[in-house]
Formats: sequence, C-alpha cells, structure tokens
Amino acid sequence: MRANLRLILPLLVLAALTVVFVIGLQGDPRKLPSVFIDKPAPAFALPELAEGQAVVTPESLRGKVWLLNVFASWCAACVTEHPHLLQIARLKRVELVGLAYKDEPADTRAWLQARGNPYDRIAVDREGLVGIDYGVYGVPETFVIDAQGVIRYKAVGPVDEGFFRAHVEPLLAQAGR
Amino acid sequence: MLAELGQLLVALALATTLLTSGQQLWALQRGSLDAEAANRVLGAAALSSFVLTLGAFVLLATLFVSSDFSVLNVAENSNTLLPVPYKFAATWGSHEGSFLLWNLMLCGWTAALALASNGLAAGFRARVLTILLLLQAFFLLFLLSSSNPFERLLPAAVEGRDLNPLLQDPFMVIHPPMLYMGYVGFAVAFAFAVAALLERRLDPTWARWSRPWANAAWAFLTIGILLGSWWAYRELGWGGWWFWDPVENASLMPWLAGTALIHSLAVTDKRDALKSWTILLSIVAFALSLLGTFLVRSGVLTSVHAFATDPQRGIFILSMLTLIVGAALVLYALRTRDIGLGGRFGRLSRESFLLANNVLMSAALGAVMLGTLYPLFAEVISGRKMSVGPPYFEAVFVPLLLPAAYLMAAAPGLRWKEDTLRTLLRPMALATAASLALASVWVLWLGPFKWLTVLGLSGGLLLTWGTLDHARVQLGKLAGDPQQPLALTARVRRLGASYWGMVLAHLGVAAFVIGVTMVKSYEVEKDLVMKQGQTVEVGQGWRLTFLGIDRVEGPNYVAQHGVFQLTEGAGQVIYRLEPQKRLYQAGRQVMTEASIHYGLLRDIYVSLGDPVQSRPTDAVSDLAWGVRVYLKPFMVWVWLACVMMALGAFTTLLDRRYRLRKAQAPAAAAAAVAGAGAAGA
Amino acid sequence: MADATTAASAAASALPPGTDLQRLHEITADLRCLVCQNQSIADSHAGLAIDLRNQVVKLMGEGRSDGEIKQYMVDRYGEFVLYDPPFSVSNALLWVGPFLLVVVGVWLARRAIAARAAASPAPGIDAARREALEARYRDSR
Repeated sequence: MRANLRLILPLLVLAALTVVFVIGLQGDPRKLPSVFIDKPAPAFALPELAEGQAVVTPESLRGKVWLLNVFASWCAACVTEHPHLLQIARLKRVELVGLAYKDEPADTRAWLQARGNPYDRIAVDREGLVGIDYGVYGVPETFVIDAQGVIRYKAVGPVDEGFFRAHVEPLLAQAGR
Repeated sequence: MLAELGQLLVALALATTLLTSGQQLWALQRGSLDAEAANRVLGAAALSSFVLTLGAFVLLATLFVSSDFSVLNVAENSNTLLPVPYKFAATWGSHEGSFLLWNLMLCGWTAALALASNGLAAGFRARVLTILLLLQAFFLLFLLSSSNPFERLLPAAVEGRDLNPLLQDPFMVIHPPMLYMGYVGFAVAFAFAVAALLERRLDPTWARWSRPWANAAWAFLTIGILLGSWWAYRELGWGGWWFWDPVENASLMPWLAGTALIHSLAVTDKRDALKSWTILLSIVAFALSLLGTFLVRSGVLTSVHAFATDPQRGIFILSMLTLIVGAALVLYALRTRDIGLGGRFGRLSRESFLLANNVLMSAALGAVMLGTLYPLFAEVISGRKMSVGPPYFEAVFVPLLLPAAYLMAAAPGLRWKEDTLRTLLRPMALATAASLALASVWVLWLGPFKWLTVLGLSGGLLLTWGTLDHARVQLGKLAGDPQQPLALTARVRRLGASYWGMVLAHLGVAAFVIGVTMVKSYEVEKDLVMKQGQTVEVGQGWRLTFLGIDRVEGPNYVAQHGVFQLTEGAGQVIYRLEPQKRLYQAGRQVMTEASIHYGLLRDIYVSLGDPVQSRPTDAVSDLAWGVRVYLKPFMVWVWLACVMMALGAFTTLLDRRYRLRKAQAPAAAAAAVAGAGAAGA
Repeated sequence: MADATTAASAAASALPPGTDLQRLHEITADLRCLVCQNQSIADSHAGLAIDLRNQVVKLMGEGRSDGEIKQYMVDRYGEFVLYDPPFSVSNALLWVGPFLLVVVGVWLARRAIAARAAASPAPGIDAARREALEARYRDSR
C-alpha cells in the first residue's frame, strides 16, 4: 500500500496542478482587485472639461448612484466601450461622470465631438493624480459609486449593458429607482 | 504562395507522423510488431518529417527576410527598418514562429536519433521512435490548429509592427533556439523511459543509450539559460542577471531535473541501480519542459517574458501537457515494478552521494516550483493577490545547493557500492579545513568576516581541489610499470571523454559558486547625478569621467549616447564606456544599453538613467544625467562557469562508448566494454 | 522631428533638482509596476510606472518616510504593489515547504537503500555480465 502511494503521487501532483491551472486560466493575472470596494470614494476637485462650469467633486454627487468612467482619447479599448456608454447614458438612470485621464482637453473634446458625448460631467485629470488616488492602472476603468459615496464595484476594461444590469441595477433598485 | 506552401508542408509532416506512429502503436497493441520493417518505416518517417518541417521553417524565414506583410506573423513581428539578421531572427520572435522552431527541433532530434541508433535493439528502437513521432504529431497538430504562423493578413499591412526591441540583440537571438534544443532534447530521454516501461524491462544498456542524449539536452539548456541571463545583465540597465521571474524559473526547473537526471543515469548505467527513479526523472524533466512552455505561452502568470497571452491557447497546451505526462505517469505507476529494484549500495558510497545530489536537486526544484506557483495557488484558493520575489528564492535556494558543492567534492573519490567513513574523511577533512581557512583569509583581506561568503568560497575551493585531486589520483593509477610509466597523453585518453567532461563540468560548478559568492557579497552600486566633465571614484582605484552626451541614430532607433572614460590606478589604463538610451521609432519603446568593461576580477558597469535638471529652467544641453555605476567582482566567472558546464557535458558525448558502430560481434563488443569499464570505474 | 521628440521626452522626465537618486532607487525597486509583467517601477518605462515614480519623488519632497510612501501605494493598489512579499502566517507553507522536501527526500532515500539491502542479495553489475546482457539485448527482439 505504501509503495502504491509513492507510485500514484506524481499523478496526484499533476492532477492538482492541472486543476489549479485551469482555474487560474479563467482569471486574468494582470487584473488587480480594487482596494476601494465598500470604501468611500476618495475626494477630489477637478476642473470640468466644458469651460466656465463648476469644479467636479464626488461630494456634489451625493444622493445619487453614479459611475466614474476613466477614459482617454489615446485609448483604443475606449473606442470599443463608447457605444455601450452612449446606450447606458440614454437610459438616463445614472449619472455618468467621465475622468479624462492623462489627456489634453483639446484632444478629449475632439474625440467626444467625433463620437458623441455620453457624460453628464467630465473631470479633467491631466496628470493622472486622481487616477492614482483611485488605484487606476489602466484605461478604461469604471467605478460604481452609490448614493452614500461608497465605491461598490470596479470594472477593469470596457463595460457594456451586461455590466449595467449586473452591477448598477441592483444598486438602483436598493435606492428605490 | 509561399505561406500556403509552408502550411502544406506542416500538414504533410503532421500526416506522416500521425499515420506512422498510429500504425506502429496499433501493431504494438496487437503484438504484431515486425521490428525490422517497423524501424525502416519509422526511420523514413522521422527523416521525412524533419525535411518537411525544415522546409516550412525556411519558407517562414524567407517571408520574414523579404518583409512579406501579407502574412500576419510577419506584420506583427517585423519591420522594413529592421536589419536583415534580425528579420531572420524575427522568425522565432513570436509564439507561432517559435513554436514552429520547437517542432523543427523535435523533428531534428528524432531524425538524429533515427540515424544514430542502429546499435539499439530493434524492438526497443521501434518503440522509442514511435513515441517521438507521436509527440511530433501532437505538437504539429497544435501548431496547425491554434498557432499557425502562416496565417494571412488581408489586405496586407503597409508596414510591420516591429520586432520587440528587447529581442534585437545578437545573443538574445540565439537564446530561444538554445533553450528549445534543451527542452526538446529531454523528449528523447522521455521516449527512452516510456519505451522501457512499454517493454516492461530496463537493461543496463538502456542508461548507456540515454546518457548522451540527456547530457546534450542539458548542455543546450545550460547555454540557453546563460544567454538569457547575460542578456538581462547587459540590456536591463541595472546590473541584475537573475530575477527569479516565473519564466526564468520555468527554464530553471527542467535544468534542475536534468541535472538530477544526468547523475541518476550515471548510477543506472554503471551500477544498474536507481532504475525506477531514473525513469521517473526522465518523465519529469520533459514534463517540466512542457510546463515551461505552458507557463510562457498561456498567460497564467505575469512575467516580462510572456508572449501575448491567450487563455484558449493555454487550455490547449495544458491539455497536451496533462495527456502526455499523465499517460506516461500512469504507465509508470503500472509498470515500474516490473523493472525491478536494481543493485544495492551502502549508505556511504558513490551511489548514495549521487542519490544525495538527486535529493538536493529535487528539493531545490520543488522550492522553485513552490515559489513560482504559490501566488497562483493563493489566488485560486483564497482570492488574495500576493507575490513571491527574489528574497524567498535566495533564502531557500542557497542552503539547498551549497551543500551539494561540498558533496560533489567528495563523491568522485568514493567507491561504488560500499565505502568506509575513514576513506572518505581522511583526505576530505584536511581539505575542508584548508578550504575554510583559505576562504577566511580571502574574506578578511577584503573586509569584515562574513560567514556565508566564507562558506561559499570554501565550497568552491574544496570542489576545485576535490575534482583536480581525483583526476591526479586517477592518472597516477594508470601509470602502470613504475620503471616505464605510461605516457601522460595515453593516460588522459584512457580515462575517457566521459571522465574529463565531468571534471570540466564540476570545475564549472566550482567557478559558479565562487563567482556568485563574490558578486553577491561584494558588489557595489552607485546611483549618481553627473554633469559633463565630472569624475567619480568607483572603488578599488577606478575613476569614471562623464565626457558628455551625443545624439546617435541607429537603423531603427534614435539614441542618447553617453560617453564615459574609465581610468584605473594612477590614470594609467583608459577605457571608453558608451552606454545608450534608445528610443525605437516603430513601437516608441525605450531601451537601455549598458556599457560594460569586463574583467576577470571585476566588471565595471555603467548605464544611463534619467536626465536631471540642476535648475528648473535648464535647457536640454545643460542637463546633468542620472548615472548608475556598478562594480561587480568576479561576474565574468558566472558566465565562464556556465560555458564550462556546457562544454563539459558536450565533451562527454565524445566518449568512445558512444561511438556509432553497426551491430558488432560479441567479442569486439566485450573488449570495448571491458576497456570502458576499467577506465570509467 | 525625432530629435525634438527625444529631447522633449528627455526634458519631460527630468527630475527636480536635489533629488536623492539612491533613495528613490531603493524605494521604487520595492514597488511593482502594475501594468508591466514582473518589473519594479524603478526599471519600467511604462507610463504608469513613470507617473508612480514621479509621485514617489513628490512624496519624498514632502518629507514622507519610506514606510509612509509604501503605505501610500498599498492604500491605493493593495498588497500586490509590494514587489517583495511580507512574511506572514499564510505564507508558512511557502517557507517550510522546501525543507520539508529535503527531509522527506532523505527519509525516502534511506528507506530505498535499506529496502535494496534487504531485498536483493545479488550485487549490481560487473563488466562480464554487462557484456553478456548487451549482446543478448542486441540480438533479441
């Protein structure tokens, strides 16, 4: 019996490794879980893209569920995401705030001009410092923030209607909308 | 046209290997294998698949050199500005192309075995070739179905994306081919092991046949790892040469298994012992080569080296790995008892020391695997993301492998089967004390006493002494008649290439231990800001003067070219060091090219950092530059050591026991074996 | 055009006067570049790495300690951003594992030697027997 165990052991190791690898392959090793889930959204005060408007702050959005979408004119995946954002904007059920990440305002304006503007407000983060405060490491990323100003979910990569159904709708239902 | 032809050739190779191996396996199953006929068919199939795959590879290379951007792989990995040699190298610069190279090498090793194995028993030979052809079929199928390098890009791109600048270096270019020669080479040992299990027996000659192939594979793998490490040293800009990166570890693991294997094969060869363990190692070494392939290409771990990640491809490779290795291990579990236990040996004997080497290698292998895969386990089991870095590996690796150096010093002097403590201790005790003393003096001369440094240096010294002294003793034994001693050259030849190869390789290990100990204990790193005309003291009497920055244009990059002057002692010897910071136009990537003054006792290493303004309003021309200067003692020893190890392994291939000969009359064979037996014992 | 670009990028990445490069290198060598594959932000040329490096410079300028700077990063990016893992109870298996392997290996080896001594009275192989085997092997199926 003991000898049998020694013979089977390599197979057991192989089996264990295979299982772990299969599970590991489902995930993306580069995806980092956010440290801000269920924590208050870090404060900031950034200029609005449209000139002459009030400064954008998370404070001013208290009381409603809102999305912070990190995007840039130089980001290829944002182009994929854009039509979905327009769709989500048309629903008029959440406030959509864009964070123009490490982008020149002129470039951002031109990009939105060409593709349409889904955002209710756009914060200009030229240096990417607010991005760092939010733990942004790639573009696009989307934060779901509830009416109390707490971050409830972070999506890495382009979002679509499925994301809206899965992660935003439940919050809206909770808030009674 | 060429691309489609290339695909066709690969498909033909697949058909050949699949049909041939399938037919032979079927015959084996039914017990109706006609060995002689089978061998002719198998030999022909092996040669055909090699020629076909070579043809496909040549065609792909042609597409690259001619910059045919209608082929997707060429468009993604090459560029018109790329110098021609790199265009050729770009053939294996991507997953698809390098996988074609992998296949080519597998076909090459198989063809070589087919040509060189006429002396092997027919039935056994048939099994080995069948297994190798079956492996080829697997990999060619994978190549065609999910990693086709000949896929078209229509409409054709106007310009390619460019070869990754990291790969645009002459030594980096040969690094993958050498690694693959190693990985794929272990497939031969694997096939030998599985064939033996299929036959349910393991003769002593099995090990003798396996050894040269395992040694050759190990030598190639050593060179491949060396090249990768040396490249990192020169290209990454900050003097590091081994980072315990998952993909580096992926190549280290089969190397450790291979080291254990070549020693275990020696025991099985000379003493018909450790048979079951050697078979398991043969399977494990190849399994780890496949695991390495999986880790690099599937994207399951993060690494600088990883090719573009593709989970679907990862699943495919994983299934192949599981199937191939699983089948072999099942066979092992079922049939290894039929092989028998083999010869016995005492607790203190050459076998037991070689077994101790195996235990340490296996533990080191386990440690590397544990460290590399632990983050993945942690994430899968508990969802937390953590990382295992160099401090872990170094803390664990050194205590495992340093004792090996000490054991290696004593091992050749031990008798086979049984030896006594007295014969071991008498020469060794004195030598060990002397090494420790010498090492202590050395360390104290350089600075404060450091235990680990002393142990490292003394291990290297002891191993050197042990190896050379044993050679001296062996040469002495062959003298014969004291009045008319045998000539030295004749005695050297009598000992055989196998012996001298071992000597060279072990001296290489000693050099490695000394080199690493010195570098890790005494390297000096300086992060400075230098203005034009400034001089700094680097240490040990070396001075570095910053002469200025030029702008230089390369074929496909623009560089900030730093010019430094290095003087030694009283300003006697002058060297020029010219590090660069290159911006490659196509991909907008920045690469640092360090400038290194190599020396047997130390390397002086300079690389450019970032420019620093001395006043916020400085113009570009007034910028001072961040400069990293390293003093790396005995760094060259590390590279030379690897070369020695590889050369030593290659030398063993020259041994007359492995000379190709047709099936001979038993008498002649007996004479050859007797001669080899006396020399090799 | 290329000249202007390299010059501009050179000036753009220029560090403020009086930066302690040694300390900067030490801190950034311990922080992981999150968008690269297994590099520290000291060595990576990625955009985020440069941003984080600049942030470290700024924090150094504000007089923060090494520990505070690292905590700043961990607060935003999690434990993963630390390049070298901390020792902890959950990592125990990692540290104990290799030595366990040696112990097990030695134990198995001793058992194997003992088993052989008990089981087979026959010695290993000598030259004459080997030659006979070889001849027979070659001629057999």
